[in-house]
Amino acid sequence: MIKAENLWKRFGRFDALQGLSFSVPEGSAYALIGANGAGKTTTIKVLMNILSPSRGRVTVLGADSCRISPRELGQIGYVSENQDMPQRLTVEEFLDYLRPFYPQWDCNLESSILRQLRLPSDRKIGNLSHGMRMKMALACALPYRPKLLVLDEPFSGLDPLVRDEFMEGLLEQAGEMTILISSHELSEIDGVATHIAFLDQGRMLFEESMSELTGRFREVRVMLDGVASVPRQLPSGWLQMKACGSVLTFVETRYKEDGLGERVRAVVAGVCNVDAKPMTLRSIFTTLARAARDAGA
Amino acid sequence: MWFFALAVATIQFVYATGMFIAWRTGEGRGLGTLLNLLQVGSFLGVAFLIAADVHLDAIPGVRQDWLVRPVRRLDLLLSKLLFVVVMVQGPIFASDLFQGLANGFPFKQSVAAAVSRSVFLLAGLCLPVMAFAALTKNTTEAIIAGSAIFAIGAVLVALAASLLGGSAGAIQFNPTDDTGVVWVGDFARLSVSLLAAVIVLGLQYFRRKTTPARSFFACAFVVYLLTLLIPWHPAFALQERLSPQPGTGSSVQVAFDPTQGRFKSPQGAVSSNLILSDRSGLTQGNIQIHLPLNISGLANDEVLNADKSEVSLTGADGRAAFTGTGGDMQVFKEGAGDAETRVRHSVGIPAITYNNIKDQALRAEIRYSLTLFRLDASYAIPALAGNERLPGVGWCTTKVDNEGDDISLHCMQAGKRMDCASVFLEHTPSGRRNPEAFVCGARYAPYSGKAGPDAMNRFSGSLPFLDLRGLARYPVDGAQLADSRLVLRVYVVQDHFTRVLVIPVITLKDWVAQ
Repeated sequence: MIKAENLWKRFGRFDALQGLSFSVPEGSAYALIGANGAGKTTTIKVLMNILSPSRGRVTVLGADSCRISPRELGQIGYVSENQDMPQRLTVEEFLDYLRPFYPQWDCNLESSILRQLRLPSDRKIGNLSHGMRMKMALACALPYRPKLLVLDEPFSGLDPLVRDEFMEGLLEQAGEMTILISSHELSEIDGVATHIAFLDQGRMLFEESMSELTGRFREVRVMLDGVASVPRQLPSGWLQMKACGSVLTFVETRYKEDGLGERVRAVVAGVCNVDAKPMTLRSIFTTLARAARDAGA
Repeated sequence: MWFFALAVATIQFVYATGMFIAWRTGEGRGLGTLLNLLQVGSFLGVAFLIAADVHLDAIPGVRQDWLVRPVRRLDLLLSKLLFVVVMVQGPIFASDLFQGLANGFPFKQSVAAAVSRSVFLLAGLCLPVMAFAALTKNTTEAIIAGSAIFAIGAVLVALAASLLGGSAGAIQFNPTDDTGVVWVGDFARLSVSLLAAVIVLGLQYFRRKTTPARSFFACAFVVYLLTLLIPWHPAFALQERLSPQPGTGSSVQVAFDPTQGRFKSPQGAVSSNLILSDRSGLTQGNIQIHLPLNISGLANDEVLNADKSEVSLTGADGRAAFTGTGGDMQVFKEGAGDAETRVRHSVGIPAITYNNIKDQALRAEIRYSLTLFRLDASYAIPALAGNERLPGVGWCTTKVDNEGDDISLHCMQAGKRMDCASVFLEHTPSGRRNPEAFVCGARYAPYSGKAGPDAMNRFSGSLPFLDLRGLARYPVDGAQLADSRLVLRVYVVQDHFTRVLVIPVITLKDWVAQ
């Protein structure tokens, strides 16, 4: 659905994207995660042909992003917090304006989305709150049942109630569409994303399916029979090791159910008990972000 | 937006109505001021309306909604153009058409005049404004950038005018200004504007390359300003190539004729063959040299007009003593006159320079850029309260001016105006005539059309019949006006050519007026 190869984007002397390569499978919900300034929005703007890449190429729905045509754009829904919709038009007027651009526009679906998102059709877009505008953007992106839905920081600045409404609206209509979502609101992605890519300073640190990612990350707690200390040499894949009393904790990034105890005992002496807990996406993200920061330092 | 468009359209119609009323009633000072304000308002309104339309779907930036919609760039550009043509130019066209028809001009002529102006406005104003707006994100940015460009342009033009304005050197400031060749500069500016607009719109709408487009616009702006320095000789050479009847002026010769003797300041009216006037800036602190010339080779009913005369005086040592431009000169040959026509050509020389060289034996070289006209038609119109429609000239009226010393002639034409005309006051029973005036300022452009405030072409002239200072007495005076008429002789351009007059030895003091 989307394939990026060695994507670079330079702003003056600053490389916002540095050789990004990733692939979004059809039917997936692909999450681009990363801290602010990691390059998520730039990546999305490049693939939407809002920005042109300095090097590399992206294909979207089979078309080079630089030559993306109305045919492809007619199959892409785009929702972004950085989207300026015409302020002087009312919700209804803007939808009236958009409808002819999309031959497959479903008016019944539009009505249903408007009801579900509780959008005031007679209010001017300029008078809508930020949350309302995001819902409005979603309402403008779904009625034509796009093949690809691109969501750029859709939850930013939304209160929990609006987030829920937004997500309900999204999930209800998602169907078979491919979703590319960028966010640093990991709790919202958890449970939605099937694939995840982690960006840091314009580089892709990893991309894999959500199940693989959550499967290989574990928070490990090791009980020792004496006072714990952090070993000098840690196996690769063990991050954030801490010692507190007789307890040693770390994050295992290559977790396999069998053999963890043996691997721990091979590194640490006096092991009484090894306990491995699944991690939330947020914890995985912060672990990786810290590791990337420490590696950079 | 629609309200804005309606407001701009209303200004156009109010202006057209105002011009119509002003013509009918005689333009009062108050109405004239109002019309000037409306003209400025109309220009600004058009510019802001176009910019507002373009900024609805701004090109620079990465947040605009249209960027992610299935909108063909060509369609977007065409929709903007359609808006400009229908909502901006439409009312202008309609108000021009209204003016033409309301002033009694035929439908076809009125439409042609309105279309011609619309094309000029599209190329010279609307498209460049569209292109400029496409380089900016919003009206605020456009106002700031536009003001900066205007200020930079004004400073550069003022600087160039002050440094090169009076210069007779290789680089002169706007040397074609106030001549029939002025269209060359105008056309160059129009071409630069149009070309720049097309390229900028292409870069922006099809490639969204704002930085290169802005750089190109800045370069085009510099080239636009440089067109003010188009030298006279290439401009007139182009004009020569575009002569309607090339070669018809080949027999015309200009010769120095010292046998005419020294010029005597006229008491009363000047000779009908002698119309001397000075270009502005020459008389202040200048000494006028009146060169006696013989013009030969003019056919019957032809007029020779000096579009420019470049004077160069050289001392015996070969050093340039003076370079400058001579005064206006028109030579009339009415009917079957003499083979040669004697005229005086005045050249203003700064008093300081004159005092330094007046006794020296100098070599004079004068390069005349000339235009030959032939009589096309002749009309007469009553001197008092004349109101006639003259074919090819337009609707003309006459009246005594407010001072009571001149007959004012006002003519209005829808579309292309006549090239030039000579006008004189004639007492019908006796055939006595007052001095002839040459109403010209013709633009020798090979195209018709204008981008001015409306599609009407107006010209006027004043024919004196009374000297309020009491120095001159005119053959046709106020008492004879009731039986007098204005004779309007319309001339059309035949040929453009140059002649160089060389006077091997001349002493300036011999040719100042007695």
